[in-house]
Amino acid sequence: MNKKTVESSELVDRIESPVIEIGKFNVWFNGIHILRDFNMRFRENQITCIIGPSGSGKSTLIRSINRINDDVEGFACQGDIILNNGHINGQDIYHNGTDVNLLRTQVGMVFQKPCVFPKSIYENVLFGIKYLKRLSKQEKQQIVEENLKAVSLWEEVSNRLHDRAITLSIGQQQRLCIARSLAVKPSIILLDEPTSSLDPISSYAIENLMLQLKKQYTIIFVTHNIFQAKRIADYLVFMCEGQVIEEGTKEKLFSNPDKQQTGDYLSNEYCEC
Amino acid sequence: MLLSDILKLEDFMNRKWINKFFLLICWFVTVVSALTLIFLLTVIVFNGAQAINLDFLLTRSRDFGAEGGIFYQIIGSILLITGASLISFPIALGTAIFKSEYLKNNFLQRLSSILVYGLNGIPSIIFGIFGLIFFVHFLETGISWLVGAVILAIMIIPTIVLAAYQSINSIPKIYRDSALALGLNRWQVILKVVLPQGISGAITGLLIGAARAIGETAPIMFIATAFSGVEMPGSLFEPVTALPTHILALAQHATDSQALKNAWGTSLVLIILVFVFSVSALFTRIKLRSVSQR
Amino acid sequence: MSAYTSKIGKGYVLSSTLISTAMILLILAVLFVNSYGAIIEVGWKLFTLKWNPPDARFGILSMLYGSLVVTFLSLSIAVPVGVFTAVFTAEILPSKYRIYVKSSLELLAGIPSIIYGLIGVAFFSVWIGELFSLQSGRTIFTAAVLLSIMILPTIITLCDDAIHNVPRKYREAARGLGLYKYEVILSSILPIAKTDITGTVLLALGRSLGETMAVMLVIGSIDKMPQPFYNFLVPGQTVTSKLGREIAESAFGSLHFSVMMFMGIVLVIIVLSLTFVAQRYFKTGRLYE
Repeated sequence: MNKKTVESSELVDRIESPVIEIGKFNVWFNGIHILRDFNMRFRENQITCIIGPSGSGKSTLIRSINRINDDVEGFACQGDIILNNGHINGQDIYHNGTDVNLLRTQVGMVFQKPCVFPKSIYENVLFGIKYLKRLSKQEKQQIVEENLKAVSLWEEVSNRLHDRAITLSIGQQQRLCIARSLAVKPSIILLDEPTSSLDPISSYAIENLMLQLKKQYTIIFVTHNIFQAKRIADYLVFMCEGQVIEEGTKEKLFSNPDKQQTGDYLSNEYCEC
Repeated sequence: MLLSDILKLEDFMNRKWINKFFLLICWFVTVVSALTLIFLLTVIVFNGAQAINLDFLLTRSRDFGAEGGIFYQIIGSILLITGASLISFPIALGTAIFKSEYLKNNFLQRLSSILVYGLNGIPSIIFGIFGLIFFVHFLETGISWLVGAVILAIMIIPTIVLAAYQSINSIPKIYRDSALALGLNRWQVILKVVLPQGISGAITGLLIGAARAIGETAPIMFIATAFSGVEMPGSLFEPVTALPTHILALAQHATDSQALKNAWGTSLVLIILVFVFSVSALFTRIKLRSVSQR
Repeated sequence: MSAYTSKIGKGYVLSSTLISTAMILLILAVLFVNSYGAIIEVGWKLFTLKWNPPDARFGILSMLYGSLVVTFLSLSIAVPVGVFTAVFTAEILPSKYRIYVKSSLELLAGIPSIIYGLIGVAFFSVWIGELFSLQSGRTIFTAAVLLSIMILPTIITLCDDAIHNVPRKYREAARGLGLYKYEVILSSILPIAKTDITGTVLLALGRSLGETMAVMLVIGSIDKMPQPFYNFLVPGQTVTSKLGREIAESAFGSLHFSVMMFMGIVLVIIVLSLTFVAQRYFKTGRLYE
């Protein structure tokens, strides 16, 4: 990190402590070095957008935060990721004793392709939470309603909760996936290009949703759409070839970036790393 | 939001143990499956190897197979398979070409698929019975190895059609279009573009079919084979003796240890032949895939 | 030249197709024609229990019962074992071993049924006879066990395909919510693989019903219902075993022969229906095998 970046992160540190601290984090897939000595701090109740060209390691990064990369063959990593929130406090999540399933209830993830299970809308919302506690019928109804309202789906589907989820439009399905993740009550939500399969209207609805959710959740949002980042981000991280090129507030990076590459990418979507 | 007010740690422990239990069951069951199947192969190889020597392979069988070797059984099986291949190959290839090049009507496509591939579902003993009634009695051919070859051919036609058809279907449209653009008529396109691919696919199908047919007992036991005194068939209409039917005969004398020993030997030889065909099919399939991706 | 060869070519492919599509109809027709006598002369009495041709008793129910029992018994062993093993190979086994496992399964599925019959005669009937202190180890149970081993590789490989073909995104979505592996498998993967697995079971059903050689050698060939009906440690008879053993001895054209043909056609109709229905369940690949 260069001098200026250190200063800005110190500034933020004094205000809030970071909810995720990534230190010297390296990832290899089948021997290929994807993330190189990655260092980052994510702040609470903010939308941090991770941007960069394809193949820069953005997905790999956030998938390492909820350890979903563990299931992929050929994955190897080194370094630590420390969570400072909730049950896993101050501990490296790659530490041996970590309960990965517990981790994933605390760090939710929304994937690029909406993935609804072949069940009803009602059952989809409850899919994750039903394993965590015994729910009475009343509690189930309440959870479904609460989370569908949180993603602005309630009015659209309240009269057909027991229809199969696959009958929803793609945009609605993605919102359903978000509701499903919210039901588990995580504190951090990771989103891996969640609107890239969606039409502009659905994308916009989800962006608005993010702006509302950030009051309660810490949101890390990977996107290759610069305009989207401009609309919703509080903090930006520009990645290329597995490393952070520059990070800072949205205002700073768009108007006065420190690095030439950042400016190039943000104005022309061109990165020569 | 802290989770501790929602979760009870015991719930997690419970799920953890159920998870371990489930995975343990999967392991256990798989080990049981694996051991059973390994047992099978070991038994065949071990017992069979004891019976096989050069003498066994090259001499004729005596005393209803309780003594001697299986030379003519090997010849008989090879004869049947060769005949079946020669008969089924052109018919199956032609069918596959017709289905992919000439048959455009959706209903007819599905109908032909049902009729051709339906043959695959018919139990092998029914083929034997059909051969008995239609050829041996109705057409009065008597018990002959040619009839056996015909029946086996009918059995493997669907397999060859499927393989050839899939292979033809994988030809990128651009090849056909280029040929047509050069002014070739339909049959010339077939000859130059479709046929080579179809033949490779058909060969794969033939090897797969042969692997299956060579081990079949029921289709040939009434109509093509006899158990004793048979050597080389003098003409097309005489019986032969074959490996699977020989095993059947020997298995029915299981108390005679020599007969049993010979049965194992015959089984091992049969499996080796099946293996050779299957592996060849695998090679042609791989080679075919690399060609069509050029 | 081209017009002429074109005509020959078309004639060749057309006649080939006519032959291959006509075959199944010919076979069914031949069976039906030859069973006609039985239908006319014995009629409803075919579906009785007593089989004694010299006495003009042609009840085939014992054979049908034997076929059904052996099949259902063998599948009730092979399907759970096969599905759990497939879960293992598709979800737990590291992928570098997959190719060896799949190839081995394909080879095992190719072992001729007569060899299974031999193993049954040489080992299983002996073991089961000793284990249960029976007079003869050739029982319905023996046939079922043998059949389940025969059908196991096929079930494993097809179910493995079914599970493996479930798109990765479902696994990840479920894992991302914090589900344990077994929860992912039970609630996310198996429901999606369900149709292909059902197709596999139906296919296995059809193949078991039609299996002759292995069953014939170990079932004991007694044309009676077991007493009581759930005692499977006694010899019995299936349709295929009966056909295999007695066709050669049965006089062509006689009523006896005709009844056998009737059994044959009942078998074919059931097996073909199962195969046909099974195809409709398979969503991905592996059609028509």
